[in-house]
Amino acid sequence: MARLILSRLLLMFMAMFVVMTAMFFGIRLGGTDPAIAIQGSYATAESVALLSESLGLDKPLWQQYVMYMTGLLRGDLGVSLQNGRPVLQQILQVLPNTFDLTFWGMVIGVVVGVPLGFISAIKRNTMWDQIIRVCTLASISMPPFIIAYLLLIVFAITFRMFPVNGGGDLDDLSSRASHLFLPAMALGLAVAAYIARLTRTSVLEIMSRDFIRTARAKGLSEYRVMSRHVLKLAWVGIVTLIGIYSAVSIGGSVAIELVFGRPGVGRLVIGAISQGDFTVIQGAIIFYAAFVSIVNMIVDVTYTFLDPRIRYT
Amino acid sequence: MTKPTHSTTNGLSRREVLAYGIGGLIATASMSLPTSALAQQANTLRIGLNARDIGVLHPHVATGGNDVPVIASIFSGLVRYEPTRVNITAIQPDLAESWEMSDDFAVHTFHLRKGVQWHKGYGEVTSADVAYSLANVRDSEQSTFRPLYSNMGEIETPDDYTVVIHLNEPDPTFVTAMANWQGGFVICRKAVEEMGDLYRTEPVGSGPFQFERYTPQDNISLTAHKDYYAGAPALERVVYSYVPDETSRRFAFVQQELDIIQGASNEDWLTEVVNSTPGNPKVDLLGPARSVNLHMKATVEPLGNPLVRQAIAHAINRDDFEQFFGPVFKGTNSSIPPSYFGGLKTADIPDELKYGFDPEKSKALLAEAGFPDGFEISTVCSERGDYLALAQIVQERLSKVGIALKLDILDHGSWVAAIIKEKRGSLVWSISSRYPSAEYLMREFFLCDARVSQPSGVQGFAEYCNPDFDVAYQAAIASGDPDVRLEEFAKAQMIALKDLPVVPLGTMSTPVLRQGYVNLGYEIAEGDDVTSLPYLYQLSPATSV
Repeated sequence: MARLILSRLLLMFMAMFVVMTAMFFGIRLGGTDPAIAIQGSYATAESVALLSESLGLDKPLWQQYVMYMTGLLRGDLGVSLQNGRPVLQQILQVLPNTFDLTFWGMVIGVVVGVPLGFISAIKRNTMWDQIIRVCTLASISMPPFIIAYLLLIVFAITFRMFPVNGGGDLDDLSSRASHLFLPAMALGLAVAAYIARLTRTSVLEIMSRDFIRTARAKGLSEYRVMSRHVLKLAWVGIVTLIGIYSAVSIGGSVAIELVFGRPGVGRLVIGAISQGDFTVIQGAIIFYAAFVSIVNMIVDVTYTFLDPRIRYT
Repeated sequence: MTKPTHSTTNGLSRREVLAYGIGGLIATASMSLPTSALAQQANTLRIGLNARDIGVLHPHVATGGNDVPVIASIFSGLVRYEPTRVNITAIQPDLAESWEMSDDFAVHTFHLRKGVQWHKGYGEVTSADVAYSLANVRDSEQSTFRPLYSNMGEIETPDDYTVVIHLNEPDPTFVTAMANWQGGFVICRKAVEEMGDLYRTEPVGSGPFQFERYTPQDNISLTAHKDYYAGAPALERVVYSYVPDETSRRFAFVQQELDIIQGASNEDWLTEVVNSTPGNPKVDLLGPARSVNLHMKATVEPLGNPLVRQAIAHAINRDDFEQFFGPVFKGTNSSIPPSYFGGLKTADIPDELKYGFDPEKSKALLAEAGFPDGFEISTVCSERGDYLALAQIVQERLSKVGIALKLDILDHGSWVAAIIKEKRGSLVWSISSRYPSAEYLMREFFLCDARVSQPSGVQGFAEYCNPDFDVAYQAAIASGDPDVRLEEFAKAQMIALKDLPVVPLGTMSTPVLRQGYVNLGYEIAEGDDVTSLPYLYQLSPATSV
């Protein structure tokens, strides 16, 4: 296990190095000039040159790259070109919001999706199966931000049960939860539909296997067949999907953040891109790369628990 | 046989983790439903900005609509504009109690109010702070407004309450540069030196409200500056929330979660919000009017030909823009909006210089210029909704007279860099908000030094240079007599209209909505023109909810 984690960590750092290097040069090829973005329509050639110099953007690109990478090794993500605030601090300040949304979205996805998929499979071709399949198809067909608007209109506008806007006060659990509920639902319902469909397919596939017939022939109760054999094996596929969706939804939650006016890392990046705030974009990309790598590692490790046949060498 | 366990490293089973998780979410959410979700804190004004996040709150750097309204509540200038009006006659004392200028308009002396306090115990505002602040806006590499303050020479502080400013060139209207706007905002020397970069996002000023807290991408809250020289504000707190999504802003206003919002430039949107919000909310179309223009770069052929430029002007119908944008857009015939000091009224412009919509005349001019079948031309354009709409409306009209305009659409940041840094773009649309006096836009559009190819070039995208224009402009700004200034400004505008480097399209105002229960502390009568440089209401100590 230690070897597995170590090798995954090594891979993670190598992947992040490649991502960082590509990103460093890639974003500088884009057209936005941070000095012009700051000065807006007051920018003159003279004033842009002066500001670029004071931001260190006049140095050769390789020199900026070496400076940035050596800073990174010291754990220094630099400061925002736009407002001078440390990038790490900016990410850490909005991270709880992004984490809340993604984590609870996934929890809702699993809690709603797995039972629905399971019911759909064991009640195959019944009315329940049809209803669940129609609902999940409808949910998949709708982008999460549409679900977000629907929830907003019904529960925040019509019934006034939740606030319309903002991330709430992070130090106040009640405010934080009330601002989180609808966005997490919007994300969760979208994820639940995918998980339900995958669970259904996995369960049906496993139920048709020989060892299930053997288990039944041995006289195991249907409950034990389902809980000990079918569901346990189905989790392998579900965990993979959870892993992939955690990575996707942390990026894809931007639209939901915008609808509910929630802070988050996604909004930070979008703002930084429009302002050409290179250091903030770089910092956020490191965060994304690390997050995806860590989730992948967790998924790999989880496999070994769920399915003893899976071994990494 | 022992029961199998599913222990994780922290000793909880998967089932337990799941159960606690769901329980926690349901408990925290349900606990909060009836109370905090819609609670309104007493004495708090909640403002919804059309912005994603903070930019920078240093008044000598910031230009964005996300920052300037916040800055305007934190900082003071030597003088200030009376609310709802922005012109030299609306200037009132602020940090300075009185001021005077020498007979040659070259030396301006300001006498500071005694006992004005900086926020957060940074002491009294003195002449040393003012001198430091003015030197910063004039000299700092990071100052966005360096060019606007380069006329300041020596700044003397004979005592703690007197500031004497020597100008390189006489300027009878210099006092407007000391008002509560941009470089006129006075920064606190001690706080800047102590806080360093932090001052850029947690500034210390001397205005009615002081910085309290910034929650990234969510809001900035300010609290009342109890020691404000004009008396402690009635509001305890002002919260500026970042709500970039138009629909979310609308819902939050309708639900009265926000008291003031920046609206959308769309008549239907505004009407719907007003109709669905209880308690008689108000919409104000805030000025100064943004001047909307089409610059034609003379160095790109065939735009160097005046007949071609006139043909383009006659091909455009200003009614198209009015139909598209609604009441926030008004067609005009001069680049300097008529509401600005020195701006030409339509009635004062001879018919031949109005360049009204006349496709037949446009075609005839093209034929005369040697393009009977029209021509093809390409340019860059921003993807931002308002710019793109302007460009596409013009593209459609130009196609009717045979001019095929190809648009290379870029994201807004790349487009700005393309037109300013790379000098790209044959036709450039500009939507400019400036101090409402003719000299600002004139200096940036039409002076020879304004050409973007010059190191000091600002918005001279047309690469226009006519020494006669420069002479009229200089004559206007050197005069202390308002009538002479008006006359010379008019003369300069006529020259620009004859040469036509820029087609004046119109003006745009900014819709802002306030709840019926918001008391701004000053009256705005129905139909009044409201001018406020940050495009949000100026807050006063008397503002309340």
